[in-house]
Amino acid sequence: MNTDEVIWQVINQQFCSYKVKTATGNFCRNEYNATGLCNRQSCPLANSRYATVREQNGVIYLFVKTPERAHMPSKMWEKIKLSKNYAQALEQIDKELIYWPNFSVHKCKQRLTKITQYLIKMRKLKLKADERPKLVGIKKKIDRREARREVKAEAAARLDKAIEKELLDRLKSHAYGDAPLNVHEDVWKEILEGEKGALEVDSDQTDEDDSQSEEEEEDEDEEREYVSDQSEDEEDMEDMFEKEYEHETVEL
Amino acid sequence: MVEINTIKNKLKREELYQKQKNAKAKAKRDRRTTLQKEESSNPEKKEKRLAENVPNTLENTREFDETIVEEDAEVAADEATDEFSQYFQNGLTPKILITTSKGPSASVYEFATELVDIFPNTHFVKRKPQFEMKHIIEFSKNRDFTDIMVINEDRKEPNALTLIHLPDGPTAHFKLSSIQLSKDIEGHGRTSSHKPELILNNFNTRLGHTIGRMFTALFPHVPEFQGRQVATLHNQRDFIFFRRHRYVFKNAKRVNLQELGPRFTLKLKWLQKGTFDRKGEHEWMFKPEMETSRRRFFL
Repeated sequence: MNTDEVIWQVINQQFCSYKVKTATGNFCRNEYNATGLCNRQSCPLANSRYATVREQNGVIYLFVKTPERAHMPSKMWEKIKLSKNYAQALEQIDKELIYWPNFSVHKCKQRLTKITQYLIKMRKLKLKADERPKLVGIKKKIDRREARREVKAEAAARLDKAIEKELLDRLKSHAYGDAPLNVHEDVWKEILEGEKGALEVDSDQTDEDDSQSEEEEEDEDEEREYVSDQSEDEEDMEDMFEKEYEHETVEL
Repeated sequence: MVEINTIKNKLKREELYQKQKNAKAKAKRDRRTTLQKEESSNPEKKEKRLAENVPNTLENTREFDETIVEEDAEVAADEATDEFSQYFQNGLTPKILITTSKGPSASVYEFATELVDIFPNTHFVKRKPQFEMKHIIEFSKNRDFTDIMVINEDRKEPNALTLIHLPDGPTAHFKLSSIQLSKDIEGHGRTSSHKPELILNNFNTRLGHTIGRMFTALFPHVPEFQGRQVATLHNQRDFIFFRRHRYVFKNAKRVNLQELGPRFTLKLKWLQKGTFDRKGEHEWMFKPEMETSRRRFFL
């Protein structure tokens, strides 16, 4: 017991490598410190009887130090694994630290609570890790280059001209149908006349074809018949049957 | 003859230089007027000159790309069975969900309202922070959406657009730049609720075809032509320019256009097979080292 007092005198009045002095108070960097403060009660070096809770690779342990093992530094701390269940772990602490000063038990339990909380949070974050937005570095040089090229590409695109050309092509290729809704009548007539003109130019070039077609037209005129409207239905029916019959034979 | 720059007298040197300059300009002017006269009487000559005298541009000196598609049976067969066949063969009507990245700012909402105006049958949904993309994709699939658009924001400005085709992808991610909303365009017209026509220009490579089909599948099959509205996606040097106009055929040679807005530019950053998956593989991804030359384009 004497040594504890000697150690604390040195730590407090001379030097401790774990001690951090700030304007508001003194802190301790020793990993076994249960409170993180530098004082007589929570100093893990100056107390031969000491208990703390620590987490190693996601597992929580209770570390206990007793004066009986003070002469064996390698076996000084007794490491007790605590249950994953928070309530059971609290009971474990109560059982292991029975008859210990209330301060130690209380601080160990506080530490257990904090560690359990941060473990839960860590695991949640880990699960969500692939859902978090990926941060990508800004490459200024590439951005600047692309901005410049975009301006040039837009100039080269001549968008209005390209759109006008495409629309006219669509109109002239009858993509809007033969009676388009989006054109004024006069313009549509003009376009149809333009097509006719183009056709006439073509037909002028092939005079022979033209003369032949004229003869055919004359032939058609000669074939024209004048029939009364009586019994038209019957004839039609007959025609239909005949046609069907023909069709079938062809298929067979 | 004496070289002008060897003359010591400055006044004389200036005078001679000016004379020489004027003579040069006159020669050029004369050459042009004679050419104009000749060509006005002989239009074939002008045509010949224009055909021979084509200036080099990045477009016509483009690096050869073996994936440029021209009436390819293999590609046609490929496209007949791809993810968009529901739209192209079965005539599915597109239904689009537009949402944003988490915690967007006002400018993103403004842009989103413009997008809603462009695409018929679009639903804007505010993004709640508790929903991840995979959840949103599931919800949208269950509600028969055919596409999802996610506007991403950086420093209070929309900076990227992710387009997810449902139910089986693909997912395309575009950089978004040069956004001009309708109200910022001078002399813009008011939109009507008619379904617009679509013009897609220059989507030539295999990748370009896929992107083009993706955009086509956002618009209804049959536009309402009486509305005379046209949406254009024009690809030039891998930049996709969006414009929207109302048109009037003035005569057989001229079309008058009135811009409706908005304007924005897209640049493809990556394409993913399947719906959005952060860990998934990318079918195509832009990397700066792919830009080996200014004449290399991917779309």
